[in-house]
Amino acid sequence: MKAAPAILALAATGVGAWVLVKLVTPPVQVEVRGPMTSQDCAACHSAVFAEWEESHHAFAYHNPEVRKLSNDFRNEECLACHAPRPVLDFEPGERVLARSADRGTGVDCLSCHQGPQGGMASANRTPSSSAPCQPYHETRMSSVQHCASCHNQHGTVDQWRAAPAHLKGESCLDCHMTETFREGGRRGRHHGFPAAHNREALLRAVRVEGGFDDQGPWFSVENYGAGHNFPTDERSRAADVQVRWQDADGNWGDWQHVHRFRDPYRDEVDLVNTQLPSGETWRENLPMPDGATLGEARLLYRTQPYLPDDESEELGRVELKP
Amino acid sequence: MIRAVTARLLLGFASGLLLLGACERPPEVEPGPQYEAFTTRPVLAEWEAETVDQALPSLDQDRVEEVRDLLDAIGAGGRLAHAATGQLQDMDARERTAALLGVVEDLRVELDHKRAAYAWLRDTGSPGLLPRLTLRLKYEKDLWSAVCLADTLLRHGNGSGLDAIAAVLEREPSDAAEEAARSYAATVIPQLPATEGWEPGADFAADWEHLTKVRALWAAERRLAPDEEQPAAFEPEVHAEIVQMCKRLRSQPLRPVDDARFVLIRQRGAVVPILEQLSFDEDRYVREHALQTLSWMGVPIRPWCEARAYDYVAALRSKLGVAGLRPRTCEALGAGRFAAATEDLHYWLQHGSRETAAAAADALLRCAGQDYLPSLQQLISDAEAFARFPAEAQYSLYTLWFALEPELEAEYPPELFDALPEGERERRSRWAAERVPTEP
Repeated sequence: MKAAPAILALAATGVGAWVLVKLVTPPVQVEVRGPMTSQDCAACHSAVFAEWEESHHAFAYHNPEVRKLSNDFRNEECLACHAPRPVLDFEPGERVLARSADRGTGVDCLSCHQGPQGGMASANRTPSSSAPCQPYHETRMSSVQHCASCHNQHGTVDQWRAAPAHLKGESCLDCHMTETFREGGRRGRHHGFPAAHNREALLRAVRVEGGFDDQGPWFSVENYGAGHNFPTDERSRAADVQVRWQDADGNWGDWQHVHRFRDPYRDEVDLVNTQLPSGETWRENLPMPDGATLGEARLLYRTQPYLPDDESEELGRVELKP
Repeated sequence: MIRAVTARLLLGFASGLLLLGACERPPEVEPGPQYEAFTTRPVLAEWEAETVDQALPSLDQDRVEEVRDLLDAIGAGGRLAHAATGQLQDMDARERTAALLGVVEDLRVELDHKRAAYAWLRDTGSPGLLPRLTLRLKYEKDLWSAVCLADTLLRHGNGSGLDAIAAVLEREPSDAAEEAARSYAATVIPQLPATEGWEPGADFAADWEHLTKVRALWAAERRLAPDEEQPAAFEPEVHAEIVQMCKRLRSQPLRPVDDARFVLIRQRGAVVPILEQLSFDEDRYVREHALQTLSWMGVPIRPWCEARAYDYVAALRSKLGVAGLRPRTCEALGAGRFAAATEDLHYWLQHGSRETAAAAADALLRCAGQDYLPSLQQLISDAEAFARFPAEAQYSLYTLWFALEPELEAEYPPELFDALPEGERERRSRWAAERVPTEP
């Protein structure tokens, strides 16, 4: 008991010393926050990280198509969405800016999850309070606005807003981050972001039909599943309807161009936007040439307008038989 | 009892203060650089209010179409053409300029009308045309029109179109239209400021050599002649239109931002203090893009600052105190190529986030002098610490090392070389080539 005042005095000495240190030392300016890179996330979130590694978000910077279109990123403005700073540093839906470091990881974990105060934002309502990355719940994570910072540059989010209610769903996540169960039964959202480079995703968006009516053969493309235009986002995306005919000897002619779905670049002044809005159907009769006995129509999806037919994705083919 | 304890506590607290006061400061505590307070303000809005009367009038589409109809009538010839010419001449010069710019900016305008509008701009345009006409260099695909707008820019003291002139002259004409553009381009060279011994138009080879020299001077110093003064500011009408162009930096769609950056980096050095002041603007996009534009402008910054005794490093340095602006400020500081920025950049290379460190390394590559070599060698020799820098920073520091020690074989670690795409490597090679030579 007698030692208590001495201990208190000693403690007070310590406090005094600490106060003085704070008073006399100029603040050392050091910027460090959260995990250093997205690679750090893999230690605890290996399954999510593996999904992301296979996604086009991970590929955003090294994608050869992007490199070509951006003149190997000599067009530096493309960097803003292909190597973005954390989206949460910006107001909801506002344009994101390019980062200077670790561009090689493209749209990485930190791009979407790093919070402005250093913690990691999550859609999870009860994130672990003991995790070293200091996760916190952020409602914006599952909102359309989160994706809009990049994906509305070419109007996709505006198209979604205008889409029929039954097709737009709750948000982008419904189609592009579906629910998944990982090892141990943990429920989460898949980080593979299936979209234009995923055949299944494309087939969930459009379907083709064809046949014969009183005006001859017809072909249709219906945007029955995308909550935005088809094709959307990137102006180099295109989808082409082609037709070919068989003569009486059974020989097939070449594929002929019928229609292109695409949003042209601003300086392609002779072209108009022919994207297929959500829920709408394009239908056209295809005049059958003399001597033809049978026809075929198909829909080809191209990730850039000049992609050869044999490198494009055929999304459907219909026989046109009288 | 309570008094005694309180007294001991106070005594202990005081002795702690004294004890520590008597000690030296711990050696590991290294104070960071101190910066003056940074506050934002509505810079662009204020400038806009001040200059709106000097800017070209904003016209509705009907007025632009009226002018296009006049050009159509002039092209048709006869009495109607005479009247239309008179009508166009009688228009207020700034209104006419705005309308003609509206015509050439319309992507759907017929070629004849566009060429006529360019020619009228050349012959009668008011100085405010400069920024918007510079932007046409980015989009104009018709060769004759490109030459005409380059000619017009030159008449207003801007050499940004000289590359287009050279490109047309280098091209082998494949038809009459290209031949006409080439002939026109050849007539532009004699308008360039003369130098001793050059006789304009006498010999194409000599003309070409002169054009090459002027292009190089414009690229490096934003001047058309070595003895030309570096103006401190733009004339009021041009300044007002520069302000209008800067408004595009606020845009959420990227294209207007990119257009503004394209134009601003092609103006004379008087744009430097404008961009520096914009980094105080209340809009974060304006602040970021203003600094980024300085970084993209690069080489011509230094000659202008030297000629105008403008302390570029001091002007920008205060922004280093703001974490959100720090990376872009580092980049802008590097672009000035003043070694005075080295100490700050070195500090932020070591104490900044990965984003700041990458920007600081890029900036050091552009501006650090020979006396930075020992610090750089120390950084690179600590392999463990060096590996923690982002690949971009490591590559820049290696490039700087090879620039400061030219006798070294420029051999990058293979994994580092592969980590950066060609465009990124090329950019850093260019920065190395643009370095101000320093004595060892």
